[in-house]
Amino acid sequence: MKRSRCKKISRWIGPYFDGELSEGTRSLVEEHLEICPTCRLEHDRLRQTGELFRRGFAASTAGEEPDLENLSHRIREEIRLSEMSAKETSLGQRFQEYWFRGTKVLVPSALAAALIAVFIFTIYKSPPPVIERYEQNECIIDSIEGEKNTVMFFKTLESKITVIWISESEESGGEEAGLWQEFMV
Amino acid sequence: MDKKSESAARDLERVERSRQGDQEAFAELVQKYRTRVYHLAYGMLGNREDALDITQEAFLKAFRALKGFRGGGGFYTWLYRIAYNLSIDFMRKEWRKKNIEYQDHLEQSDEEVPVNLRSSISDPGREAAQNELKRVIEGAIQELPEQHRAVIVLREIEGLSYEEIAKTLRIRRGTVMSRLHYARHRLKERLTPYLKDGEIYEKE
Repeated sequence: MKRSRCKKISRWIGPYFDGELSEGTRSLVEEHLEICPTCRLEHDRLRQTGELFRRGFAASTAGEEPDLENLSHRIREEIRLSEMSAKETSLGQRFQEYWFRGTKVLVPSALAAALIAVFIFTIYKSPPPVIERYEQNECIIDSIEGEKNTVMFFKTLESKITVIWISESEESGGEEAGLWQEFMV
Repeated sequence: MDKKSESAARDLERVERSRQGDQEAFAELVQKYRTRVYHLAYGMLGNREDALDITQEAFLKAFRALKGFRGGGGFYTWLYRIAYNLSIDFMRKEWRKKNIEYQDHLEQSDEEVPVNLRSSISDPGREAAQNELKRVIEGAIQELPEQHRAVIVLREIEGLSYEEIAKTLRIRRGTVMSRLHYARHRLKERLTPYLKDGEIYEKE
């Protein structure tokens, strides 16, 4: 057998084995394999190497099903959560814009929902001392800070809740305070 | 329509539904391709935990990037490519450390007498033979450069065509062939002691 011929053919044994040769080249290789034991052995070794490789690889990755099942659940969960929070943000924003009418307050959406359900308010303008009075007798139970506004909730002695709204507006040059109606909780 | 194009068409339909927020459709894609992505990641990284992490990341990344998927070349080549890139990135960070550890491990075991697999056909010995084979294969893979690893796994394990491999790895068909040739050559060298006269060690 001419060594040079084998050398030429040996490059094509892999693609021949993989079924990637055009018809012309394929039959050339096939003809050569029929008469050349060296190249035939090469072809067999290629096949066996592949089989052993698959066998070893399968052994290495065996038992992966339960792990992959868990993985599927985790992926599902992650996607569900990320999609949900994306939705919530936009819903919450729309809620706030409607009820707070022009004042932009960033509140956690759950709290916003609670506020809207319970509170009725009218807005008075009071001089800043109002805040001091409340500071003596009451304590702040909660406050929400937005970009331009701060809302503070005060608990009174009679367990009423008073809501004070403070906004920093550039026009008035400082702070304005408003007082919302007290009510019983 | 042949099987492959049918499958590809179904994938594209699921991609479309996923894009519109159908999480169930994406879950179907996960179900369909998770083992294959895991195999690629395992082939690249060589260990279970990292491969699982990369698999998870790959699907999440794919979900977020669905808008950018154009459809040329099929969903799975796009998905494999994501997994491949994530594996490469991971390896660049971790590889130095792991490589040193693994090289030490390899050096130690080279001194052991290799198990004669032909005599390990009986049951208790079979596990030893199996482990031996695992070790040899894993060693062989880890020795290969990164891109050669991807090519041999995609060809021998996932059965992708040269064309599909070329699309996945964004290389030319000729490059696929030469890398495959080299990888197979190295693999064969490693495995030749276990091949006797054209027969594999075990007949089942």
